[in-house]
Amino acid sequence: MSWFYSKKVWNPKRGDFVSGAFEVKGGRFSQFIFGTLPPKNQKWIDLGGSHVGPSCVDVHIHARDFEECHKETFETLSEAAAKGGVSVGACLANTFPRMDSPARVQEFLKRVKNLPIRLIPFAAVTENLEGKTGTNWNALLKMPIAGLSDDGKPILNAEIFGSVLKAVSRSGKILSLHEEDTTISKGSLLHESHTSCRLGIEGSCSGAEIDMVSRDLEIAKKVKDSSALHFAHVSTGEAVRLLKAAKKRGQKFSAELTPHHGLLSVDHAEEFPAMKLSTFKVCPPIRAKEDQEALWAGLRDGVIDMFASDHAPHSLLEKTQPMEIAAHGMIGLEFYFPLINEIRLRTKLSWQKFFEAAAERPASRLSLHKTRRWAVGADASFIVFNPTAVQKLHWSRSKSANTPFQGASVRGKVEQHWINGVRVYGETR
Amino acid sequence: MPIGRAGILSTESFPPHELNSFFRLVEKPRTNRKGSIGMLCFFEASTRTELSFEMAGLRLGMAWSKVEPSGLSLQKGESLRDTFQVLSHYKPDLFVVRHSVAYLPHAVSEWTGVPVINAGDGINEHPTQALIDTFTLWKMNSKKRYSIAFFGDVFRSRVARSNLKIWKALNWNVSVVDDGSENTKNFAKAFGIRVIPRRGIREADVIYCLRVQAERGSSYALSPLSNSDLSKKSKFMHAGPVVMGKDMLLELCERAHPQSLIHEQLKNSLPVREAILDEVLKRARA
Ligand SMILES: [Zn+2]
Repeated sequence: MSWFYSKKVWNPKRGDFVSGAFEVKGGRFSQFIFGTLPPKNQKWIDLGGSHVGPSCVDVHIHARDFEECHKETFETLSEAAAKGGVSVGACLANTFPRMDSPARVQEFLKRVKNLPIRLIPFAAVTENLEGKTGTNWNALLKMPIAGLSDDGKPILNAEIFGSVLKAVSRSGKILSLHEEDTTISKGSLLHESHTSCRLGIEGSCSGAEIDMVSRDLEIAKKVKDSSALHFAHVSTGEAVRLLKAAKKRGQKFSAELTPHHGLLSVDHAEEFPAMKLSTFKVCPPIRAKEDQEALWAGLRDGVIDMFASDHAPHSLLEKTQPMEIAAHGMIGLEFYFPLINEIRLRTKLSWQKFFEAAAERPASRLSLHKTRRWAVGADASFIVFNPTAVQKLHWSRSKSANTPFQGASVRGKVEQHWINGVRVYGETR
Repeated sequence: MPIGRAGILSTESFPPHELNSFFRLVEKPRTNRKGSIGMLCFFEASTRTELSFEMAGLRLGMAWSKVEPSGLSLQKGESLRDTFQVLSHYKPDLFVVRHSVAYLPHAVSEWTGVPVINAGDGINEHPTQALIDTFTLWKMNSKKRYSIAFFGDVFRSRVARSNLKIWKALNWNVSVVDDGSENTKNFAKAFGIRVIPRRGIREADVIYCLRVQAERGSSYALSPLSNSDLSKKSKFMHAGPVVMGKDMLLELCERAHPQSLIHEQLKNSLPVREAILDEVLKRARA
């Protein structure tokens, strides 16, 4: 049992940080008192003037264990997440071997049991993510998984999409969608733009995402319960508009924004030397400035519900390649909080909305709304941070370093990260 | 530095004064390069460019080893990186690489540390052709600021991209003929050049006719270039091979056509490539 005190503890009722103390008992918050020091005769940990708020929940992580440990292991992933302020993460199914059977899921759960951060697996929608034969949905959905997803690949077959949507919605879990019409996306190397034209790379059109989002919203309309729907890594302004209209109609779904789509636009690619260009390769590609602005607006008005890292480690071997051959993806966990905090600052998002998008909504999407709240009785998982300190990002915790934010300066620094009352990152003063 | 330790990968940021000294070099006698061995790695069929490099090297006294892509174990799943790393152990002094993948030559240079001459990478660049073309114009008049109009599918043309980078650095006046396609309009915007109507090319000093890249999905949006497109003063170029009757009418393809620079381009391809090989070998050893 211990008490913590800071001059800036998150107070959701006030929507602001106020001086206050809280008690942690058995890994849970047992008391919050605002405006005063901890009770007399109590020993307490002084967090000084640092901000204290809920740690992040990330619904989009690509783990590389079991067979790609040269890129990342569960342990390095967990270390990166601890430093980035992420205490719970959902891992997509495109691992090797694929998470496409109950036995594999079982193996995953066993392997991550003792990590400091909590990892929850997604299972694949189709065998080997091939989009052809459905996995054993009924059995998988009874397991403690986040939901189903073929992320990395779209579900091009509309019939499979329709039936898996019904199945997952019944279970209360998530169906996370990678919206890319691969028949027109030309390998998603770079967004089709003046930049791609100048760089001599065949660009990928926004239509590849828009067509799929619009198809899936149409199909979902005809399904009684489509609440499982979750749009991963939304990248285009037009998709934001479609989602906004759908939310207005009352359709239920959630959508996420990644740090890279939130902070970059395609023109940044030209800042990279030719051999580093593939650092910029991610699917969906980083779009135009107008798209970035639409994503910001979507975040502000709640069309986009949450942040998610889409953390996707790749070794130098897979990235020191021409664009066309290099692997898709960027890492994002180690500096997750600073990156999304930078988005908060640039979009002038309120703290209330920020914590909803970084912690509350993703937690409730993972059915953790009871345990992951900023309230008495919930898990004592919190970050101690400075929201304005500028830091230059040196990525070192992941086994991979594929990020366009290598050496970038952003605002925000996690000083400590506590999960269930245990410090997993940082030092007390 | 466009020609350097890494070879020549792009014409990007070729300073005009260096271009001038390079062109003067083309006209000077060259070092004997006996004992140097290059590897020709043409993953896309191109008899002309390959032969031109081969002959240029032989004239310098170089020897060549030809890599037959079909003979490599690429089909067996070996990556390009593995392949080139193996090849680099055979100690070539340089690679000449043509491939449909943009930036592969850059990657080969990075993977192996061996100088690479980019002989065409996807729709990205073809720097040696651009040096031949620009040398051809420089030789006619080394002081002139040319006005040049592209005629054809610029978007899918690596020759256009490489030439443009040089011509923009030289502050030449470059435009492209409107072929009605979005790609052409976007290309013009991306590179900051003008889109002109077809009759506008009569104003240009040089019309640069591009080959239709059918294998890269372009189609004939313009009817072939013909005598009626030319004004008295205009010259025209083509990097070859000309698709006769499609890129341009037969009447322009005669060797003796007074306004054609095609023959000059062909003639200059050898000395320019000799000079490039010579420079790359020199700088690799420096
Ligand atoms: Zn995805």
